Amino acid sequence: MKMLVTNLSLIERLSKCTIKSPILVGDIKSVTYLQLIEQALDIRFQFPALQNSVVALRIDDPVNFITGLCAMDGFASKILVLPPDILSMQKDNLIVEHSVNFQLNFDDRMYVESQCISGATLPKNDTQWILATSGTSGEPKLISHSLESLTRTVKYSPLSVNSHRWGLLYAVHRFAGLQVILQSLLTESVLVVTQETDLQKNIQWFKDNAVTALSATPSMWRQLLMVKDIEQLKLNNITLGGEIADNLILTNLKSTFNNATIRHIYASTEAGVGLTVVDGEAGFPYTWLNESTRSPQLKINNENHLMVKPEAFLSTSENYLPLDAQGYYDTGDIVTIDDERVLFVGRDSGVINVGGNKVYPEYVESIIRQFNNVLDVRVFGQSNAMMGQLVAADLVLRDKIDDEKLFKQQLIIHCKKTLSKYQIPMLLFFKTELATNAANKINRGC
Amino acid sequence: MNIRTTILTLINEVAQLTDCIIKAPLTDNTVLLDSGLDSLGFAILVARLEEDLSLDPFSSMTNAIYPRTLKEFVTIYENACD
Repeated sequence: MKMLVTNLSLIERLSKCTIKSPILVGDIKSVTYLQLIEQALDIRFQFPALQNSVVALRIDDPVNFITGLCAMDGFASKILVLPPDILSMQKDNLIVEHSVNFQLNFDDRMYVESQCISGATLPKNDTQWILATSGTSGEPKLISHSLESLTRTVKYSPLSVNSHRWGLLYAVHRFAGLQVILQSLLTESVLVVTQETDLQKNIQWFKDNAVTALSATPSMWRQLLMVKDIEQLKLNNITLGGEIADNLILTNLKSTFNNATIRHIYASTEAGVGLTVVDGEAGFPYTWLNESTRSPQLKINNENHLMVKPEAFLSTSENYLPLDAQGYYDTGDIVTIDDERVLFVGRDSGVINVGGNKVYPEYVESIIRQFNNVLDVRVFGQSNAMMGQLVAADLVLRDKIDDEKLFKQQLIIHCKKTLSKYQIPMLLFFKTELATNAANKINRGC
Repeated sequence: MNIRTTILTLINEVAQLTDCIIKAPLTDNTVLLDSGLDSLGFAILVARLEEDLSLDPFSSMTNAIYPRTLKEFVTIYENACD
């Protein structure tokens, strides 16, 4: 098994694939490798001005989105991947911030909108991919990638070629979605995609197209297990990522899909490293700690944070990582050791993970503090069997209120104006004061 | 208020809070994924039921059961109460 690390562009890599049958199966259209390459090259031919430019990509249909990506990687200098639910104002800000020259759209055919940004185009190098986190609130967090960094975890071996039929459950514009797309395309596997948002119809589509491999967050898997006759999906490859996978979900997946290999993945995006656990148990074996031959090497610091040792080439001046004297990076993930396993507990920073969506408590607190009569607030994650965590808030009010239920409803309405649904604390508790730590800051640790 | 009524009341309350639309009158045979409540709504429902009933059967299960109909969901709570 080797990693696919190369400087070739996506289209150049795909041109080496030999499968003749459709490799992208969508509900609107399906394409073979050859068709995908031809259509991508056609976009380049139609819009030569996009070469070496900064291009925003806003395409909902998965097949057309992937075609657009293939066209722009190695052609544009930078691709800004815009989530479909991005607000117009946020999009405008991003376009200015990244000096976007053009926006590539699809509406029964590809078309390009010029953006009113002057300035010279950037010199061509490896195309930079900028992923914007979804959200109707705050400024989207931007993460810069390249094809190389996105395909670092793609494993390739002669056995993996055309071995799976992947179903895509993640949104195409998300990091996890792109990883499934690239894993599938670069191992010459079939990728089954759909624009359908109804989960039951989605699963029926996967059944109809004999999907054998699925990747989803533990919360998504819990929901999938509620789908009638889900076991009729003949999965042999199951991946969980983006959240802590507990033993309950792992056991249930094993009993529902007897023949599937189940792997759960822990990734530190900043350090560019990932762990894959395939023994069907939560966490990872204690013996992995301080194992000098393991990549990445792992240890736990005095604060019970997991420390990982990234590969040397990642820590450059452009991609600076604070490392300790032995070259380990503090992931900020709190772990505990239980019965020869290292188990993940949560984030030291207090970042809340709602079904794979990160919520920054400080931001939510700033919105709540704007509401009338709120003196202080602590936003935190409350464990939840369905979504891993939910956003909750302790509230301290200035003045006593008569109707707590009405106050909660009005506060939630206030939050809806600026926060995405998963960011809104639906669990609200009234307190007389908030617990603080020695530094007089709100307690955020797990 | 019995458990079934508590659950039905909270489903409607959570649906309103999360801007979900309950598609049809809820019956025992309503498929949960067809009810109109989304996955976040279900998670909030389970948390709210824990507040009201002091019960979270899903967290205490050794072998998790994922209910597919409203009746199965209510039965899980009724059994946890016994």
